Amino acid sequence: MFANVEEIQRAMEGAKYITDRSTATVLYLGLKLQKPTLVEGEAGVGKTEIAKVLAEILQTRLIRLQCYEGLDAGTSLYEWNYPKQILWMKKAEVCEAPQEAVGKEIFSSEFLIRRPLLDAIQNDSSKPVVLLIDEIDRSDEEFEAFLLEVLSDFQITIPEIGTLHAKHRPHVVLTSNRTRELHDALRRRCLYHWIDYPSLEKEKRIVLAKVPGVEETLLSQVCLFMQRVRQKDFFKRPGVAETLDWVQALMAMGRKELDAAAVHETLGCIFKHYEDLKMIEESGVENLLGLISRRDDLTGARITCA
Amino acid sequence: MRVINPEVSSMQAFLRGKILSHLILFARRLKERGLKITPGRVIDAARCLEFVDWSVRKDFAEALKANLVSSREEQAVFEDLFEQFWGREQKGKAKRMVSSEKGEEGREISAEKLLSICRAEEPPADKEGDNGEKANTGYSPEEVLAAKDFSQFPPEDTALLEREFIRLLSQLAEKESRRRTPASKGREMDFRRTLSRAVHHGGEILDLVRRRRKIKPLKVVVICDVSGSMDSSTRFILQFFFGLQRVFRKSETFVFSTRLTRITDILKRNRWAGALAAVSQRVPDWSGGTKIGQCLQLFNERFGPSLAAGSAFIILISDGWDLGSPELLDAEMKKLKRKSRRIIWMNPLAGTPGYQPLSRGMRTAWPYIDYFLPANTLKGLRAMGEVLEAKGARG
Repeated sequence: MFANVEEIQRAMEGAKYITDRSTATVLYLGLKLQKPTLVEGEAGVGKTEIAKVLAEILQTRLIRLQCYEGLDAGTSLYEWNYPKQILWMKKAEVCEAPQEAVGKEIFSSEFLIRRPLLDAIQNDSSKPVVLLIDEIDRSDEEFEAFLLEVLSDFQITIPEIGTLHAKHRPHVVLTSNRTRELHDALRRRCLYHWIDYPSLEKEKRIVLAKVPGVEETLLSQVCLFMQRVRQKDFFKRPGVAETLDWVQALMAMGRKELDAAAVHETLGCIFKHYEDLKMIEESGVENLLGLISRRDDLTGARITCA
Repeated sequence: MRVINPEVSSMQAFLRGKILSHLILFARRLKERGLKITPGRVIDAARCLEFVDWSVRKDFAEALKANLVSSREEQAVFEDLFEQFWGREQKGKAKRMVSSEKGEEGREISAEKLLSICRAEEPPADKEGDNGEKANTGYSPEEVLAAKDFSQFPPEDTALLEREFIRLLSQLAEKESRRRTPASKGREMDFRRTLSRAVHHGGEILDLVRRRRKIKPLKVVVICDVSGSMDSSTRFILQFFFGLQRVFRKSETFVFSTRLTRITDILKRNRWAGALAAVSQRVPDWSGGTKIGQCLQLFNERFGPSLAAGSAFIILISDGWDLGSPELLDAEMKKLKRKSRRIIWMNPLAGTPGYQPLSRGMRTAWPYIDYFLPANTLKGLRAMGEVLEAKGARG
């Protein structure tokens, strides 16, 4: 375990997740208080990645529950394997097996299909797992209420088997894109953290960590371009995920520097909506680029550009 | 919430100073500003001080923030108050005093104004109509009740109107969801239930369980203009909100003239008379000019993200007299359109015979509107009901 905030931050950077002190603090407190952490932020700023990295640095298993509208207890917690039960009963009938034994047998854990939440609670390893509940805002209110119950005691009652307690409370990370307001009761049970778009410096470090071979010039230009793009009013502002995609795309095309042609060819990496593509074409890629090549007023450093 | 606190003694050791009492006071201040503070969260915040070096100001702030804040909006409030409360500067305090003074001033005026609106007489609106300055002069009194302008209703009929609203709205408050519910005449098979029932019969499938889509309340967002040019219809519109909020528990209501204000919570919490007073207190710019574009921009920024795309009916109520820039309005209408299931624009002038959407704001917004309806007659409301009920709007 980690003794202080610095250690967890260092460990995360070691796992190639460049982060700031506030994120590290929240995660550290989450571990210490054994409370779930609710992470919100724009798309593509690395919310899901937090859970992955946490599992990596804790050297434990990551269990992921992807939420969607209509998700219910049957698909998130457990379900009996009905076809198998029926087959078993048929078999018992043919073999004339004693009824009681069959009854017991078909409701044993062998016939149980474990879904992520049960998996996270009934974990036999010596370490607590990391449970990622991804995009909780996509699930509906009914599921949120159900989740509340699970998160408050980490125990699950299966009528046929009994109550299962978590040996180790899993470390829970919830993410939300804010497509819907979460219920206050759920928020109250969590530590809250908002992730913003990274600063220029931070974004450079992220790209360097994830795409080690990137050229210095390209790196600065791409990151600066992205910072400028995010200041504009697009329907979907590109996140860090887009920056990483874009750098890799540019490198795959053998580009060493950013110019108008390169941007035009690879616009699809940054913008995923027709309106945004149209808007950037109209406002002119050259304008954004021009600012970068002439004068860099974000960092004050001069960057050469073709 | 359950509180686990194994190390009370060590906590007391470092809380010997005044930090705990300050923390509690701070939490109380946050609560006064609308944050959802519970004793459990405050205790957890205090426990956190064990784990972080709270002499480092930033860490201290982070630790409190993670525990006491639960949304991005609250984060801003927190940061503001943190500076004031734990900070050395007193700037924030001075600023607040100025703004509160302003608020009170605005409040008195708007409350008075509002009262005059609630009183049914409304002589100013009628006079204006007589002078022919407003387009609602086109109203003809021989039309049937359904077409009667709301500003002409006598006070004793308000209850009747309200009942009419609720009757109308309760028919509409449902929408299909993706969640399924068992139903004897459902179209889909529910295999899970069928098989689990078969288990009880020793594996013989005796009956088939069917299911259908579950009904889910429809989401409606009302954004209403309360600017000067709308005065004559405002009384009715407020009442309509009130009825709407009762029926659609998930609806959201905003009013704007130069600024956008959310009044959902007020309408939910209060009875009609109390709601009126509370709204007048909160809305600072009652009957100011209209900046539709700016207000929609604010709506899209602040509240847009929490709307799932295509989930909500957006009802805009305005006469379209806009003082802001048409470009902005165009851009924001476009965004709103993408987010909404349908946009319904209700215009109090639309019922006037021979009305043409010629005002600049109306012209700009026109391409994005799905339905254009009169706002100030029961007829208009019924038409809106039909729109919400229509098959094409569902699913």
